[in-house]
Amino acid sequence: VITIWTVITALVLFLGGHCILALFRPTRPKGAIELHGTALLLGLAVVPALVTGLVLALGPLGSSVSWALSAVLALGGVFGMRGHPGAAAPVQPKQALGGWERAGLVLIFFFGAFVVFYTSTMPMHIFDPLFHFAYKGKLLFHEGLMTSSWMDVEDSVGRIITHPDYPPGIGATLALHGWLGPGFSEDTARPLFGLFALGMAALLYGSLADLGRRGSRLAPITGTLLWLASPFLYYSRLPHKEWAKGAYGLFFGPDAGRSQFGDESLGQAAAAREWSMPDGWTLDGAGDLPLAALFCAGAMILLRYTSAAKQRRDSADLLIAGALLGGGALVKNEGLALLAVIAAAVAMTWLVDLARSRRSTRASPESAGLPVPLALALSLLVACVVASPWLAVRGSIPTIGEDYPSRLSPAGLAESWNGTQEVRSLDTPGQTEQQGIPGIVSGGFATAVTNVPRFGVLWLLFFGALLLGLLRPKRLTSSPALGAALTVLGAFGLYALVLFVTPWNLEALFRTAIPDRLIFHVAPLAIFASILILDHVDQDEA
Amino acid sequence: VSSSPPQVPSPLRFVLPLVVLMTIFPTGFAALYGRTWAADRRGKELPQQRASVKGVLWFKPEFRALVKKLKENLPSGTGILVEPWGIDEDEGQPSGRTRWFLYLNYYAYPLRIFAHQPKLASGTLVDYSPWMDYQFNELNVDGGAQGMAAAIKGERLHKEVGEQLEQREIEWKLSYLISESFRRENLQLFHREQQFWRPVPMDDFAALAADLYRAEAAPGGSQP
Repeated sequence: VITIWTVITALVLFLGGHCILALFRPTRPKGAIELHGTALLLGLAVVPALVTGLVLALGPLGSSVSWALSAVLALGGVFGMRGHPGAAAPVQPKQALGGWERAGLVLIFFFGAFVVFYTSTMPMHIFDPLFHFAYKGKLLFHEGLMTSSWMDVEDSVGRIITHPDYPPGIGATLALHGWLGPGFSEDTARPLFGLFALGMAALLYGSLADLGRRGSRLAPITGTLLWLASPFLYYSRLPHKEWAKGAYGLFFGPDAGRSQFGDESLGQAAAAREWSMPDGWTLDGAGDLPLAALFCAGAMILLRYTSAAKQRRDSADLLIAGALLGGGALVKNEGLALLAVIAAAVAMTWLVDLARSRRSTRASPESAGLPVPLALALSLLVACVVASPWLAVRGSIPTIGEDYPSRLSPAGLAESWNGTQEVRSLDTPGQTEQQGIPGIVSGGFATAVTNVPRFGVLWLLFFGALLLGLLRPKRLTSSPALGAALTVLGAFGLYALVLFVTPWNLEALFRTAIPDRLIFHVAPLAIFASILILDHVDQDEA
Repeated sequence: VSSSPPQVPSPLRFVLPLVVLMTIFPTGFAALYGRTWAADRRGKELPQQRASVKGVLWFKPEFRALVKKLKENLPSGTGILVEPWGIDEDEGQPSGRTRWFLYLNYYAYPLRIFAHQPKLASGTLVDYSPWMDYQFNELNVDGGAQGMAAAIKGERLHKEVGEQLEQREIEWKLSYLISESFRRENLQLFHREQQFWRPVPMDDFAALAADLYRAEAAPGGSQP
């Protein structure tokens, strides 16, 4: 439900992002789409961090402090927007649009509008958004952080709170919306989640327009459409098990599909509830979409700076990237783990770059700007500062069953490598059988990346592009696509390890769209890498 | 990357049509979602929209009436322990939807909802069976466990639980039958008086709460 308070909160986040952006004093010109997309995502990352920090220091902010904070951010944003160098960005001559490009643009606008409509008209949240995220918002709004509501789970009688150690970034956004408006409401705050999808769409379009072939809009249109038309943004299951029947059910309704194909064609989840309702994973308030948008935005901007293809290096990009990465750590714990992944990917691309420049007689392109290790350190430092209100208290908040760092020991991994779990038998319906954990985990990933109804061709394109890129390694290693692809692969590896040692039953976990929700965290980065590789793979390796 | 002039058409010329064609799935979803919204939900209040959602117990009028009654009659911050008294044997293994106390915890806030073994109660479905085992085998809430050993263990646990209730000033208990449906007749409310739980018929609850809290702060009914 969109109210005036939803719009005001969205404006505060957007202008707040512009305010932060202006404070970073960027010098790299950006097109309007990239500029506003970056600002929106920055606002979604940094404003909740500010709110969390203030709540930690002062307790629940209340209306007056929230309005004062919002006024400062909004005014700063309005003034900051005027002085941005994007206003002076040179306009590239564009080629005329082809038929498919026109269709792509129409679809981008259609799905952009649908994101707004969908988040505004959903009648409900499912499990995760409500318990793991909105509930934390309620606690921040009424009590603050670290009260007994967060902590009292250790004794034989205590409070109910799912995953108390999930970070409060999303809750902070919801709480701010409540203080700016008449009170806490997860329903009127829900449209704000569309901003993550739209902000990422704008950043993808702007970045790919800038990095793609000059004058062509193929790259930005293809990449942005891949993102906004990702089915997983909207639903996770088809109304029927088979694709063709599922498509029929989509267009004519599950009831028509049921009468046409019979009940047995229905998937398990579809039979259990009205499948056309939100699944609870992305646009309706869980942390997966915000993490995907903030982490991938930060990674894209950081990799633009640190890759060999850097042409216009702007130290402000490192601050922007760090703030976005920190915002990612503030919406889901995986955001912290992904910081290690992006750091490793940047380090690897730097080493590749060093090796290339030693072989080459040309001067290292790294001669301008900060050295890569320093650049990476600066970004990570900013990320830690943004996430610091949460990092300061996280260790004191109890965890429920997900203490992965302690489980990821050599002994734990070895045990899982030889371990088995019970799964439903494919040969004998209704029966179960023991299967090795490595097989279950790899099967889960294989099923996820080939799940076309859920992801379209996103992952198939990524792996196809990666193979093509490896055939032209020089081109690949000089592009931000290398770091992006390494980050995606690193995230796959990290999540595979986590699933290896998870205390949960894997089959039960997979029914809640795992590992799809996990690999979704790097989906925009996979799109960024795929499009860059494909757009440049046949170009001269000058 | 972008400094080299293109020499051959970008492979994206072939990828974009594929991507456009693959939008059939989300486009179909958007069309169906829009149709469903226009036919069933447009112009209706949120509770009405939610009540039409199949299989979601906590949007049904009986659940909402319970939440409303508790919030209207109990002061903000009052502690309520949720505890099952049995399992509906006709329904087989209880599914995740029988954990409606999670929704009670959310919607009844700022009332404080408590549970035995809160980590298991708040965990995933994997933790649900051990949580129920604890209620029935350890705490013996249904009186099913027999014998001297069970009696001694039960007494020890109940003493410990009593201390925990005392510490947290938990005055109310909502006891319920674990069932796939949410029915008022499956609920039993208790008030804690001198370390014992006294049953309070739902119809008498409002009057008792009014008596108890008359001298205290205003009820939390007007709060979220």
